[in-house]
Amino acid sequence: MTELLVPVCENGHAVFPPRALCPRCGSRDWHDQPAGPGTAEQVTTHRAGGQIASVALDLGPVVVARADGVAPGARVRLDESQGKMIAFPIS
Amino acid sequence: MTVAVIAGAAESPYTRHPDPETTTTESLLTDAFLRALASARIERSAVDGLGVASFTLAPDHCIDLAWRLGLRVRWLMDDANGGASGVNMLQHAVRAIEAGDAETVVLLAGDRLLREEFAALTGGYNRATRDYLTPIPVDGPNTDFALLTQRHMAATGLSRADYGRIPVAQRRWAAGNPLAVYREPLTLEEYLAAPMVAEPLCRYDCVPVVSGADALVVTSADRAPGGIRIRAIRALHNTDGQEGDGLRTGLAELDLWEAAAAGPGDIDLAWVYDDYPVMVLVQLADLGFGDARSVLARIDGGWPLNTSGGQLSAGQAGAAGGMHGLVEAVRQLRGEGQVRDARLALVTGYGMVLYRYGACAGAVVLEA
Repeated sequence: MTELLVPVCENGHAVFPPRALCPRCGSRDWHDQPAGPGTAEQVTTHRAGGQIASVALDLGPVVVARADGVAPGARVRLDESQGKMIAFPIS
Repeated sequence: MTVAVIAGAAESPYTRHPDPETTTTESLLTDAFLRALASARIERSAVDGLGVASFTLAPDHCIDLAWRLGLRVRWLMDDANGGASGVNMLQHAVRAIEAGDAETVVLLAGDRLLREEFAALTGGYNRATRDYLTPIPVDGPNTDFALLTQRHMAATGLSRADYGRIPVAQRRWAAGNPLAVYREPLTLEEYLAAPMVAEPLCRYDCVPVVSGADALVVTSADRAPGGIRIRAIRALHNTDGQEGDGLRTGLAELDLWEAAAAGPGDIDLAWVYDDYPVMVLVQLADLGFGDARSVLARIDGGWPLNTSGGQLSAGQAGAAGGMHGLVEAVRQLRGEGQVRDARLALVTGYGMVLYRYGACAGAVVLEA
């Protein structure tokens, strides 16, 4: 697992998931940037077990991730491996 | 100018567990096609336009279906917009009739969905879902709408028991729809005691997956003088790029009422896309029917909303969910349902969850 990378356009607009053109400025010139910290806004528990959270990154985009042991409002970082997003509390 | 009307509408009965040997997506669409023609009293040879929405017809397209149904057509439409497909296809068909591109269009929507076919559909719904949600894994769209319902609860102060009033009321209507898959009464106590799917959603907040198909026949008022008129039809999609909270749809920005020369108070019955109870409240608020609490009070009072039982009781047959409400509204406007003397009906479509919530929304006002 490594820290999630999110696409950022040449004018500094971050998105997730990736887009073809930047929704704000229309740029198609993207580079990847570490997602950085975010806040778990809502957390749900699945019938199969385990928690899923909606995480608002400080960079702006909202990412859906596995979030076991994460409470709503908690500060988290996001790791990713082949599309599997996991939020870990920042201690 | 030519005026387009809905001359016929029909549903091929929904089933929970179809026999895959005898029931295919094509057999369901064919059944709905024949029932709709019978409903419209129009011969197959008069059909010169065909539109279809189906998640499971692939690799076939609309032209394959035209071939297999034996239709020579001047107008074709492949629609891939799920819960918004019925209103979307109707919008295009109406313009085609008005413009003279076709004289009689049949619109079809339906799917056979066995358990593994449904899993494949939701897991690979689009690239964003396939690449960034399915690997987590999530529970199909239930996860997204659990998170969305939590946002709605925080914004409105509603409790689980409030959302439960919607499936409970819709189940009362389902008792009068012989085609609904669940017709036995549902109490709020049973709702609250049901197994959780993804907090705060329980089993009764999630549509039962079924197999089935729906169909409409759209033609000119000259050909079908008694047809159901389309007072106004509008849509708006991808309003916020999935960067909002999902508690507002494109319906909030439509000029539907101006176009219909009517308002929410004129509507005799409504069919509002109910993939989850929360979206019924969101869409009705967007269209000016009032906040969640006032809408719930009307629903408790027997307001004719989702009179088929909605997808929550009648079932969701894949893409047919986007047309089911149109078929139901036509049934009621023709006086064939429980609602007496209904003249104006509202039907909405909503869907296509790109990543966190639906991106497509459309609405139509129908007139008997």
